[in-house]
Amino acid sequence: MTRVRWWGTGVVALVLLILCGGLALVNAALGSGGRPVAPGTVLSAGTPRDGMRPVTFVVPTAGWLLSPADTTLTSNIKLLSGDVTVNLNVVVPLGRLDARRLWDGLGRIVEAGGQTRLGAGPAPLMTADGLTGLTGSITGRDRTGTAAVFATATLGATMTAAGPPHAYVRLAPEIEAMMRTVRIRSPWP
Amino acid sequence: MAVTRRPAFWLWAATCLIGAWIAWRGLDAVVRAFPVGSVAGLVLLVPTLAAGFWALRRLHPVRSLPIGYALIAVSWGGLAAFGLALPANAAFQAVIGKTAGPVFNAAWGASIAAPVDEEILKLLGVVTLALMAPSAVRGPLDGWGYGALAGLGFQVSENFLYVLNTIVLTGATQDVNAALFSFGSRVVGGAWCSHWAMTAVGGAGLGCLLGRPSRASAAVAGGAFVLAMALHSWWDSPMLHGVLLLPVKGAPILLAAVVAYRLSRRRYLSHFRRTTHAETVRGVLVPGEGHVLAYRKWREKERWEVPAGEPRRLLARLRAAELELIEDGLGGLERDPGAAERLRDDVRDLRRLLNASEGRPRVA
Repeated sequence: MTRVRWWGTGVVALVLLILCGGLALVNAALGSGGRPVAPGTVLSAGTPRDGMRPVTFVVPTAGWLLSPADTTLTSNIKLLSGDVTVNLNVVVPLGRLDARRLWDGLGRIVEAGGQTRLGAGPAPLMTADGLTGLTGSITGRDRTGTAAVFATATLGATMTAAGPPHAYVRLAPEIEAMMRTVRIRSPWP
Repeated sequence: MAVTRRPAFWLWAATCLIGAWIAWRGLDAVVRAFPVGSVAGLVLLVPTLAAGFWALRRLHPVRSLPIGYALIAVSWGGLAAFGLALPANAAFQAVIGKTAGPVFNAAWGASIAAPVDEEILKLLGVVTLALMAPSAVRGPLDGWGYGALAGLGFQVSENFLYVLNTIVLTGATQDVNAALFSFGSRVVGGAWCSHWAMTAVGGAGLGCLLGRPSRASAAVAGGAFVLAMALHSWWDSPMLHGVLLLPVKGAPILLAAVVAYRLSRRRYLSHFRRTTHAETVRGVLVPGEGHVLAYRKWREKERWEVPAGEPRRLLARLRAAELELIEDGLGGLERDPGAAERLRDDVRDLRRLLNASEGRPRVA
């Protein structure tokens, strides 16, 4: 095999292009791929144990799409309704977890996104299941929203929802209802 | 020909820069948000990179892999392959999520996307190195070594990403503990059988093909690459899930890497012994010299027995030319049929000069 320096390098460049550009093109061609979620559907996230994922919530109304591209059921779920997004993230603590620390941590995570930040002074929130947490506002230049955090001894969850102000205000009651359905089942007895 | 005059060098440089830029754009904000955890992660990971780099270079039975080529392989893995894998994996898993659904994607997405994207990207580092420096990859042992180094670079970058991911997964409530936990599970528990091992297996097969192209070596290269992807898929699969099961899950990967190393080493040493015998019969090497050449510590020992200055430099050049002559027979891309004869002349000239100097070693 001789003098492969040019065509060999070309083949490497082509493979790189196909691998990186080709997959991105296929992904773009498939569109958002959002899957409609029927009202009353229970969505669950977290590492399954005995066939059950430990963090669940209910989508109360129609019009929401599950984003499969941004959802990894072992750790998070992303829902879309127009420009409004709802993210549920599972939190696996390494030590004792409380809602206030989780709120502060979520503030840093949201700020790392660069577009929004959490408001100060979260208020207590209790779900229909009796789970207590904290809730507060999300603000950004062109986005507004709500965040909630829930902590148990062994697991936590954060839910953030944000979108353009006019769209968000319309969906805010649905989102707050969604937040009040969050349940955390401890994966450990 | 200088490495910088080859197009593959510029492809390597450009791909490393692009990869580093993609990785920086993706991680910059998170690193700034969690500076203490990020620094803790770096403090833990940089020594593992240095230790792995040293160990993998030294695994060559006769001479350590040249540091320049080793750095090229590690940087490809840590910058080029890692950076490009970020969007490639994201796109591939998004395609799986959209076509097969989020439940399937959560269970199997990583074990389908990562082996394809990452094993191809890492192994291209060995191909690029062979294109920019054909003498670097002459057989399976070289392929194994540079594959392992490319995998090591990728592994360390990915472990840093996992430090950041663990900080987020733990709700950014305990940054340093998250870094320690991530290091404990991924490095202490899983580093023995991770990317370096998978790409070493693929690299050994590729080294067979680059050393001596034939249908058989192409089949070996293809088989080794498929095996590397299968091992990667097994590692990422939901089977045997859990930190405590990592050693069990990683055992087949480590075993495959060890077997590939032993076979590559045996093939190299067999060629080494055959060639030293032939060159001794030919009169290029003197009796006993093959034995000195075969052992790093003997070469170092004889070096200190020769006076410093010109004699020691001549001895180093003589040994380098002899090793080059022995390895020239292994094969490689752009093999020069006249190289062996030139190297024999070099060896004879260097020996004459060394004998004329005052620092003649016992076997020269």
